[in-house]
Amino acid sequence: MLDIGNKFNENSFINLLKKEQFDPFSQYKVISEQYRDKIPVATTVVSIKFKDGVIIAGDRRATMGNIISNEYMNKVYKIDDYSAIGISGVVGICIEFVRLLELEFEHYEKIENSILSLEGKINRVASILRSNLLHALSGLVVMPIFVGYNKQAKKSAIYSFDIAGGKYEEREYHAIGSGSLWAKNTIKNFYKSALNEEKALNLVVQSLYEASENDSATGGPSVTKSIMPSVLVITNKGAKWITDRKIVEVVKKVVSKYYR
Amino acid sequence: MSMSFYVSPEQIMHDKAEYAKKGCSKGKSVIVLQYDGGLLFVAENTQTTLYKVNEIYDKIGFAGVGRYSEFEALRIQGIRMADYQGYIYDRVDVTGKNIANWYSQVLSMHFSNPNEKPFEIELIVAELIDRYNSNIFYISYDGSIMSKKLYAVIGGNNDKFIQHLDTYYEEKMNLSRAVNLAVKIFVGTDNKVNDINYENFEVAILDATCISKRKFKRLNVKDYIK
Repeated sequence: MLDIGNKFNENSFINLLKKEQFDPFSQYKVISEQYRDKIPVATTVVSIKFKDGVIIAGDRRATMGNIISNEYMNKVYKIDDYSAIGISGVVGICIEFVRLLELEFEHYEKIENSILSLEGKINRVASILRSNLLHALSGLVVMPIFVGYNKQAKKSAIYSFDIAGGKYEEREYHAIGSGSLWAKNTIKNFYKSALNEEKALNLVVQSLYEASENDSATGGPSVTKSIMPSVLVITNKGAKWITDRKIVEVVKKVVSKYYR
Repeated sequence: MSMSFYVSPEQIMHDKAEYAKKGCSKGKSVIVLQYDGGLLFVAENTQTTLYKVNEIYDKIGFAGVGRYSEFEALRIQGIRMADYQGYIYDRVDVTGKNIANWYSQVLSMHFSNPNEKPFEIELIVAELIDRYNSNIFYISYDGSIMSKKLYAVIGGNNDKFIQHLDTYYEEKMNLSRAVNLAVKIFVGTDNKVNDINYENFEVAILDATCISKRKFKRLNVKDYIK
C-alpha cells in the first residue's frame, strides 16, 4: 500500500500509470499504410517571440485524407500559467498526449509542492515523444511545439522536437504541421526582433492565413462561420487567450491586404 | 517451545488506541472552517516547508496531524489515487468522499492488524462544494470516519478547540475574520496572547471564487491579521 519498497520517491504520473499496467504509449499496434486516411490529423501551429513574451497560435482544422474531419478543434493548450503547448499530428494521440502532460506536471507540482522547471518540462516532453517513436515511424505521429516564459530570467522560450525525442530551442520563431512551410516563410519575411504584442499577433494570424491559402489541411479564418485561429499569449503576467472578437479585427486587417 | 500469553482482543484494541491517541495528541492542531468564499485551513506548524495542509485535487484539500512521515505517505497516495481517477474518467468524478473512504479503510486495516503498529495520525479530507457549503471528512487513527459541515478540528487540543468553535463560529464570515478567529483559538487556549509568532501558522484556502479549476492556495497569515 505505501510502496515502502520503492527505491526513490516516485512523482511521475506516467510511471504510475505504467505501474497500474496502463501504458498509454504501448497500446497501439503498428498500422498499415492503407488505413492512414482513416485517422484524423491536425496541422499548423506557429509561435513567435516578441518583446514581452511569446505568442502561440494554431488553425482549427483536422483532416482525414481529403476529408475535413473537424473544422473547429483546438491545437493550442495552456499547460499552466507560464507554459503552453501546440500540437500537430494524429489528433487522438495528440489530445491524449496533452492530457497526460498536463497531469504529469500537475502531479509533480502537488507531490513536491513546487512547480517543475521549464527545462524539466522540456526534458519530460522529449522523453515521452521518444517512447512513442515506434508508433511515430508507423504513421502515428505527435509533433508538439512547447512555449514558456521564465519569470526569474524574464525570458521566453520556444522549443521544437523531433519524433526521436530530440529537443531544440528556437531563437525567434517556429512552425509545425503541414502548413508550416508557408507559415514559417511568411514569418521569416516580416519578422523583426522585439516586436510589440500587437504586431506579433498580426504576424501569427497572417502566417496562418498564408498557410491556409496554400495548404488544404490548414483551415483559414472564417468570419461567416465564426471560426478563428486559437491564439495564446504568455508574458510575465501569465498566459492569456486572445478573444475571438479581437482576432476578428486582426483577421479583417490581414485579409484586406489580399483584396484585388 | 515458547508460548505467548493470552491477551484479550479488547485489551489489545484498548492498548493500541491509547498508543495512537498519545501520538496524535502530541501533534499541534489543524482547524478547518467554512468562510464566505470557500474553505479555510489553519495549522500551527513550526516547520517551514513540511506542510500539514495540502492540495489533493481541484476542490479537495488534505490536512494531517501526528507523525509526519505517516500522513505524508498517505497524502501522496491520495494524490495518486485522485489523479488516476480523474485521468481514466473526468476531473468532476473525483470526490472527497471516495478519497476519505479510502483513507478510512487504510487506517482501520492497520489498526486492526495484530502485527502492525497503528498509525499515529488524524486526517481531514475537505471537499469544497460552493462558497457556503463543503463536505468535511474527519478520519481518526482507527479509521473511524465522520462527515462534518462548516468546521472541524484535528490534533492536540481537539475538544477544547471544538468548544470554542461551537461558541464563536458564525456562518458567512469573511476570510479575514475567519483567519483571526482560528488564530485566536490557537493562541487563546495556550494563554500567550502577547507573543504570537505568525511564522508558526500555516494557512491555506480552497477558494470558491477563483476561476481556475484548481482552487487550493497558500496564504500568508500576516496579511489577514488585524
